[in-house]
Amino acid sequence: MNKIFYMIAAIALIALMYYSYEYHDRYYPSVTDFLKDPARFDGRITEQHGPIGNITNESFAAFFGEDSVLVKYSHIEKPKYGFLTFVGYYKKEGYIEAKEIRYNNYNNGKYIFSVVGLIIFLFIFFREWKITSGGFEDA
Amino acid sequence: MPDWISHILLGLIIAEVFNIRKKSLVVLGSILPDIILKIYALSIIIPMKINFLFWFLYPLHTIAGIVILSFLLTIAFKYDAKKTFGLIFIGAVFHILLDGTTKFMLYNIQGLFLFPFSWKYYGIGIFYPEQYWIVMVLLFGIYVILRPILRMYRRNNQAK
Repeated sequence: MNKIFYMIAAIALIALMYYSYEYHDRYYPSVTDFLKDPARFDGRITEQHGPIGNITNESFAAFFGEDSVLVKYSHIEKPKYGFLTFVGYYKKEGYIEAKEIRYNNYNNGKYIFSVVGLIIFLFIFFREWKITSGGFEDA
Repeated sequence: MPDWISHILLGLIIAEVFNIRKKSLVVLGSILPDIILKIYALSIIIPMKINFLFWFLYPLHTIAGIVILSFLLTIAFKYDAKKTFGLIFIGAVFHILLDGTTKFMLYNIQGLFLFPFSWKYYGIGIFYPEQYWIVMVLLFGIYVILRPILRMYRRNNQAK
């Protein structure tokens, strides 16, 4: 296949990635987008999931990589080996008012199974292919 | 989202049903949409810029993205390019369809099937994320039952 087609495809993929990153906040504003400008997203409904901490009777902190946000919701418990999903409204004061939550307990087991899955994949893959200088060749 | 064992099992089922010789290419496709995107999952243990990683890599988990990625991967295989593309792509499409069975409270952000033409999410939402094990058990059962039946059927057909 002509190398020019591969170059066009690579450029198209990078363009898609740029478009996704640049425009996602119009449709699915993340916590990071919200924290940059809370007033812009005031009243917008959102669904978020992730690990939580700093739990009090009235609120908790939800963590998203380097960022965290205060979420107001009463009587929360720490999820067991999993995360918390919540639906709520972004508030211009810089917090989220949660209206519904769901505990995704024991969800972290998925990552262990996925590591096992990766080993299974490598086993299946290298039964059929071997690495050569020109790429993968029939084993 | 289902775990990788479930995705691999679905890839193996597809390969059995269509009697595909290069099963590994379908299996590669069956985890391809996650391979790069799920880097963000490491944020559970390492603080990182999750927003950038997720949304920049997000197209790799869409139909449009996997069309391009499957095409780009053909360069890495010394094998029929059309077959390589087709097998990886079919595995990846079934990955996205299987993710569509995950049930969310408001929206399934990984179900933007028509991206970049539409940001609308699609999905049939049957299992909550923590119920991934049900999907795994179901697919394992289907694979274990289907594999010998299909092989016996093909052997009988060849004998005739």
